[in-house]
Amino acid sequence: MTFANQNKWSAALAVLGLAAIAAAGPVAADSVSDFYRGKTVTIWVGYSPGGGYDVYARTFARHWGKHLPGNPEFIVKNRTGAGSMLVANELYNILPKDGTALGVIGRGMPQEKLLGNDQAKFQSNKFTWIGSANNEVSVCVSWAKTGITKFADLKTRGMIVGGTGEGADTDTFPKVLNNVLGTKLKLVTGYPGGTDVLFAMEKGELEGRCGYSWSSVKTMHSDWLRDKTINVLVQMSTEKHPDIPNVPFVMDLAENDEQKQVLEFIYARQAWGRPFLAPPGVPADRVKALQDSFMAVTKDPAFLADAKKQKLEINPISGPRIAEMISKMYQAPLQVVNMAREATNKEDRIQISKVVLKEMKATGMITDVKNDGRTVSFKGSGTKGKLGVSGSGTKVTIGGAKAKRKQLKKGMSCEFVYVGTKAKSISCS
Amino acid sequence: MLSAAGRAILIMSDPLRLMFLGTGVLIGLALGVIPGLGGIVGMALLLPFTFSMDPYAAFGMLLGMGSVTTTSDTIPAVLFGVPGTTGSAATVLDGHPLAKQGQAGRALGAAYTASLVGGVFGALLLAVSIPILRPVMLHIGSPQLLAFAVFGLCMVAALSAGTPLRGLTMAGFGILLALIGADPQTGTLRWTLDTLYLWDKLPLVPVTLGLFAIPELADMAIARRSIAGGAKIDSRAGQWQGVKDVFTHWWLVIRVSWLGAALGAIPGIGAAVIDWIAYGHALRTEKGAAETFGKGDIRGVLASEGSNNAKEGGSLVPTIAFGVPGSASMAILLGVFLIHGLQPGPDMLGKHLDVTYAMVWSVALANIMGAGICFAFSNQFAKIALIRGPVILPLIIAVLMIGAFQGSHNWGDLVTLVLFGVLGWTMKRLGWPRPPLILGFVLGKTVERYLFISHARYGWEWLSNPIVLALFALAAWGFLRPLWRDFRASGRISSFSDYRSSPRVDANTIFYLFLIVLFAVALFFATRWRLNAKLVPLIVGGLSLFILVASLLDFTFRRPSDPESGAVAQRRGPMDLRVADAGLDPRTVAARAAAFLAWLLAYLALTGLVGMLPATFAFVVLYMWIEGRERWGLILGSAAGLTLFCYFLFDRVLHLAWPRALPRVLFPEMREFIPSL
Repeated sequence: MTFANQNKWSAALAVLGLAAIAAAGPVAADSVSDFYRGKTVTIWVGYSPGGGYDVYARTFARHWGKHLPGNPEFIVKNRTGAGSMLVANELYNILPKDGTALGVIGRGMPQEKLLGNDQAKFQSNKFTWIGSANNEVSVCVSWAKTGITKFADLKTRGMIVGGTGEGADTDTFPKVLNNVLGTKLKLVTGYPGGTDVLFAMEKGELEGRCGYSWSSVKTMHSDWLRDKTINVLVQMSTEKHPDIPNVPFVMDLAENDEQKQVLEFIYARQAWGRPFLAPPGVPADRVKALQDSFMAVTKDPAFLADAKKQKLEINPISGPRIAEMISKMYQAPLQVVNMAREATNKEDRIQISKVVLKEMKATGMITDVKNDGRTVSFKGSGTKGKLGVSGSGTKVTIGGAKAKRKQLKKGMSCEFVYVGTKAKSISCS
Repeated sequence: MLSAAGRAILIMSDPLRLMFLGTGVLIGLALGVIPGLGGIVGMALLLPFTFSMDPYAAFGMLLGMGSVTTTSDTIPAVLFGVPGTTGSAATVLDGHPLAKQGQAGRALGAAYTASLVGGVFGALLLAVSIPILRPVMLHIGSPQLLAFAVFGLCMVAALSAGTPLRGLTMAGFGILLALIGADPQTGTLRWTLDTLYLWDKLPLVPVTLGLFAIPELADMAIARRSIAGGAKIDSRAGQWQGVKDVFTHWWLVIRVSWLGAALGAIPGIGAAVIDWIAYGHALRTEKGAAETFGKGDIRGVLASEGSNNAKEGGSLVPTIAFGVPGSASMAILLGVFLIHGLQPGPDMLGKHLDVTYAMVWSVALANIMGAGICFAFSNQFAKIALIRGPVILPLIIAVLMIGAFQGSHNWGDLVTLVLFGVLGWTMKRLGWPRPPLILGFVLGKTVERYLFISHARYGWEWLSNPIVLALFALAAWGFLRPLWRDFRASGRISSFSDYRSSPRVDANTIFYLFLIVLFAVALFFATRWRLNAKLVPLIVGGLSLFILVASLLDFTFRRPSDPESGAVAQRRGPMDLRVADAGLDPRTVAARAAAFLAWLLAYLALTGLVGMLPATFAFVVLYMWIEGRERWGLILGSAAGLTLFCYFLFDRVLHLAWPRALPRVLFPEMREFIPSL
């Protein structure tokens, strides 16, 4: 036996001794605090050091000890594998169920089994859910120079977006939008990471990114928001983000109940965006202590200052609330689950073809003019449409003479030349 | 720009900031020495301590740490043939033979100085190119990244050690290994053997350590002697000689430092191949290198060490200019940007230019400090080469195992280490070059990735891009010229008269057949995948199989004066094909090699049975007693010392995971008593 082990032996004996005293004593003192005193709680992170999930785990670990009865030491260990599925499997099957092993896994993991992944060796509704540090809102952005300014453009013009590999949000979300809401996103996938997608967008290789955490936009590229280098087209989550009330919310874009149910099923993961969990079967009093202390940490000023320093968004969700959402997810109608599976499916049902928009020509009558001529609707023989009119990019003529866009009036007969939803020229008689 | 650079020097010369920088350097040096640990672990650990610092001190400490792991990683590479980080595998090829000849001091001195020069010149190159960084980088799209990776890959020809067919096969093998895991295009799980371990990909650390470190240790065990054998050791005078070597080959060191800095700036190239590309460059351009490299030529050490320190400066480029971290440790560095409210991008090259320059100077300063500290302390290191094999070997093996486990903290890492150890040793013995395998392994994924992206985005248009064309032309030149030379030198083109009628069959034949079966089975499984998942594996695998068969035929029917056959490769071929234990009969070698493998497996079995820390103690005791009959005081002292060291460093300080052991699964309560369960 090594010296190190002797140390542990004596420590363990001391703990046993303490436990014996506590058990023998007349007052069955707080058993949770007795259990955790002198112990180490390990948070297993399914990702490598330095990533988003890891940073959340380490920040919690620094403050959690003082809120959990018995004040155990919290440490973080990283074990990477299969996008955190390895840690999820180990938490469910191998790691101790006494409340000294916690985990942080990817937000998509709880759905893996439902979506048909046999490698997921766990029932996510049986896990002990401790809480989530943030309700993550994900957005689609376009590089402003492309001229894609709003969600509707994604249905007409389309957009080339980058992905980081099958199964990632950057790949799944464009497929979902295409399959459910009929957008024409073209996915170019295989980039090593999200930052590489952004870099490609900056270089003009891509036109946008779908599946981009709003908190990350704010912290890493507030300059892009400030300089209007990017347009935020849609937000995807279970609730709208208070920062961006005017950006369309994906649930509002659903055209029927079925679409909405599918979207709710898929985007539920955003609510438990940074999930902390424990194996099934942890004693109930410890579960409660862990859940309560988790929420207490999120209100601790020292923790909040630490998180703020690292620009971590903290919109916590309690463990019981996550458990409730997950059990609801398990009760979703089979049809919804199947459609969700289809929408995120590996088989790409979308026709991926190069998005090249041809110049179109139409003649008709102006049916509506909005914003001083910035938007013009028209109806012609067999066609109708709504076009954006640019002050500098659209050539407007009335009766052969050059004119301003605000001179366009309802009822004029004109010839429209346009690409996508952008008017190139409008010549009215 | 000059004023910002000057201001940054003043800022960094603040004593408190220098102290933080120095602390980072010390930690970095310590992490660099231990195989498997590198900048990433240290950065994650140090990051919280930087919250209260100003950005200059924070960057100083983290960059200080990250910059010097490649200075001290030379120490185990030279002394034991165990690369301290994946960036110093090429150092082993010439550094370790020098140590065996009693010139460890010279190799270390030359390596530190080359590291220093490389690090500083890499930083200077960055400093002067700051104004043009963004515009230049904006032209590096996916097709260009692909072309860079192909260019790197074509170095295999130079690194094939006069055995072109085998080199190409191994490069192909490396690419196939890189493709293991979930395919980004279709999500197909390629060759994962139903394990989650292989899902992400085969981790680099255990593969590198297996290929390069295990064979050296095995040969040390087989030769049954200390590292330096009977040679005298040149600690102090040798170091000085090493410094002078750098100035003798000044132009080479400058070239590789620029090469390292430039390649470091390209995302996706990676530290693990930069040393090889520089080594290959030196091999092609230095006079007489083809004959002496791999046998203890100091220029090999200079090329590898000069380039791997320069890369840190280069890898700052995409991080600072675009927020694209070129490596995992750079991703953590991005966290520091966040904490201090800095935005990577144009602001860093304008408004916050002084911060950028402070980072550049931090890298340069850290390299100076790191080399200085190494010089001051390593007078004693060189003498390690005199320690008896049975004493030093179990200690190195134990640290190596724990280091390999840091690949992904999975049992698979240990299995990978041993499997690649066997493969590496076999290749070394039979005259197969190992560097092409690593090159293919590191760059294979990048090539496939950007091939698909380029095609999906641009069709075939990207092939007409001038940068791509220029890089492809360079790659072709770098690829075809050495191949042509090798073929001509071996007289392959001359006539068929060299081919004989009686076929040659020996151990090499078995290895050939093993590879052929392996490739064929792999290809068979691949045929069932979806098109985008199997395209690259089938093309690369098919070509490799074809070349492999050609090489086998050539080997079997050619007269023995052929460089492709092991015996001659040892005499003529450069690099890693030379075997040291002349004088031992093959049967003894085989028996001792088998014993060594048995030791490794015993260690693994012990780890599974009682946990890694107790296993380490038991392994060291058993090895020293059975192999060396050492004194019990020494045995127990070493074993206890090492176990305690590992416990405190890996468990208490770094909080790293341990391999799951059987009792842990059967009796979870046991982990209360044994830390490493």
